[in-house]
Amino acid sequence: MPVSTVAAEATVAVASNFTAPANQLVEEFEAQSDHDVRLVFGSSGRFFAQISNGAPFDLFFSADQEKPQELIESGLAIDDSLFTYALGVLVLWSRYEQLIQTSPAVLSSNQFNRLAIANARHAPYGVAAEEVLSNLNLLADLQSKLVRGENIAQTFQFVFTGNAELGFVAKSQVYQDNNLISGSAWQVTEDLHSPIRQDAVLLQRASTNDAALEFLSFVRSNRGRSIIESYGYVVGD
Amino acid sequence: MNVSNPTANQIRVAINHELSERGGRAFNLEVDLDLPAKGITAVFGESGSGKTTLLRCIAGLETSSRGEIQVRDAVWQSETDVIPPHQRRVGYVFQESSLFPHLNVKKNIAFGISRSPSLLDSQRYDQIIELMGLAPLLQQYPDQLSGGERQRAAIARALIIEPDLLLMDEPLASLDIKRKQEILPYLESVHEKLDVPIIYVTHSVDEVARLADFSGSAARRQSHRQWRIERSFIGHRASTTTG
Amino acid sequence: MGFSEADVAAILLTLRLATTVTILLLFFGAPLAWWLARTSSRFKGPIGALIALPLVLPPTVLGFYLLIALGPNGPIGQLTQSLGLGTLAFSYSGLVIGSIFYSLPFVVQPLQNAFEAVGDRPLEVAATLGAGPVDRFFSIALPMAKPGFFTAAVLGFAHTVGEFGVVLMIGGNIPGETRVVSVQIYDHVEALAYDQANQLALLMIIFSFLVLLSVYGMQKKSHRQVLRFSP
Repeated sequence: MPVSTVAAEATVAVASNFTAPANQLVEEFEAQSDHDVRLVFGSSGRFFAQISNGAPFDLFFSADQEKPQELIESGLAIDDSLFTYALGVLVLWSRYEQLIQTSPAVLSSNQFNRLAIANARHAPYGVAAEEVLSNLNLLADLQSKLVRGENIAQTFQFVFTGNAELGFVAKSQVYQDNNLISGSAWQVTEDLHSPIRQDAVLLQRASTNDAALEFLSFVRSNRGRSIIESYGYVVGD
Repeated sequence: MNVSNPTANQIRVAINHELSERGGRAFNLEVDLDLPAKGITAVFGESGSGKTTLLRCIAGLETSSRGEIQVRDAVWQSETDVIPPHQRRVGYVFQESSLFPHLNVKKNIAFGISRSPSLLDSQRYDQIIELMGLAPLLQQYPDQLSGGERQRAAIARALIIEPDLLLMDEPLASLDIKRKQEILPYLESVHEKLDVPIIYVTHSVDEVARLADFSGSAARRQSHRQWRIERSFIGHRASTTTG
Repeated sequence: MGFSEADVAAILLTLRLATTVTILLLFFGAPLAWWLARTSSRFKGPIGALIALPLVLPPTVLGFYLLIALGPNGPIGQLTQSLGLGTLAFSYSGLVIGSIFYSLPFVVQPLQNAFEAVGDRPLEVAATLGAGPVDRFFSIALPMAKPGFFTAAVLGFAHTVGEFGVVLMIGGNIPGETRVVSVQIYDHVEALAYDQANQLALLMIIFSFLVLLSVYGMQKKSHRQVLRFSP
């Protein structure tokens, strides 16, 4: 393995749902390396637009698979760097202790007025949530109770503030070290929706950026994977 | 300060006004005026002596700390009671014309009529329009008038409500000499033809000489921030008895 | 390419929201602006600053606090629940409330300026002519402040149309109820539907330009009118 002698710098665009694990990944990476990694958090759609228009990012950690793929097709990202860094885990969550009895039964009850999901038009967690409702044959019935957050963070706010009694949120938002932090929840079984794959890709301008390359391999290392898992994500093979 | 025996044809202003101006320096104005309810009383004195403040207190635009204001048989201010300005039958002509810019001359003049408890005497209306030479200007807006024309309209507006007392605060000061000469005859005819007592603040000797029946003057008391205004002498035109 | 049905619904909803909010703001903003213009109370500064807060706060901050305030445990939420209205987040009424807070300074400040420009003198003259305080407000202050009302209405309307952060936070993206044009544009961009986003965004730009043009045109005239008072 070549040992780099010059400290390099990489700027990484990260989907905001991955903020907490990304921060810890960088902290540990920088402790063992001379390189600097700068994180920028935001919406994947906005990053896509910015990268397409020449924004100086070296790595892109998207919240979906579609956007990194399109960047590859338009020649802005490197094909063989593409990989799934995390699989999101969907959870039906309420701030109220007794509302969800670790099953989807509450969804067909009259115990709630609003169900928050992420916007399925562009948020992968929203797509998954609609698939779940559809597979439970509840999508049509619940249409009038749905409120849509622009991303999974906003969806969480709707439920956290009690404005929506229930919501499909990311496990990483309500679990810590595999324990529910507060309220009540049902962890959606995997067979009810297609996997929420979050892909990362190396951008063309960073093909020889040591900081970016070494950070990528740290994310894929065993230590990297366990950090990601500790935040409630699943890491595939 | 006691109110002297109220008589139907007398005006009494006895006030003691303390005000702290910007910078916190106190200003004290003491006024003791007994005037007949007729004719023009000129009040003069150097600037800063409280002449305008006196008029504002009489109109109720400012409330003096302590005082008695009585005009004919109406008590405007006593130790216990202060009548708000819109309930005093007072006319006020300011130094600058102060016509309402969004109303034409006719509506400016009519403003007070609709708010006056007494019905309009149309003869008086015609008389005032004629006295002030306003007939050709009624449809004009203030920004289409000269300074003199504006001031004539403002005087008419104040007269039309039949005030018990008309206050004029250097009404000619913002006009040039030519306009002054043009408007003085109008004031003289108001004086001759309408039975309205007027308190007229000025520092022009010429205006005093032409118009005043009586006068009051401001004099310093003790420090330079303390002023007293009182009846000084009966002017040369006063041949009638005072009340 | 024309506007989709969803785009048209968003445009209509936005116009309806902005109209409602503008009318309510003029109604409630005028007395508030009048008070601010005339008072010498020591609360003038704090209340003026409170009203101006949305000018400097990120809309998402305002939106987040509104989301909490409207929620079942928030002060507004408690009030609406006790009135039997439930909670107002994710409803048109909630959006109206949020927009009123958000656009308040854009209406109150021009009105306050206009009332201040009226000055004391015309009101004093009116008082000596027998007009009481309420009469003076309606017969002198309101007509003289008319250009300010035009500016306030246009800015309030336009700012509500352009509102995004607050709507995003308390709206919940419900078609025909809370999905306004700015949110629709955001969704188009996020979904990489750039053509549709362009179309709507262009409409917003043209609209906003025309609005500002009319305000600047009006301001020239109103200066004349204000100056007209003391020549």
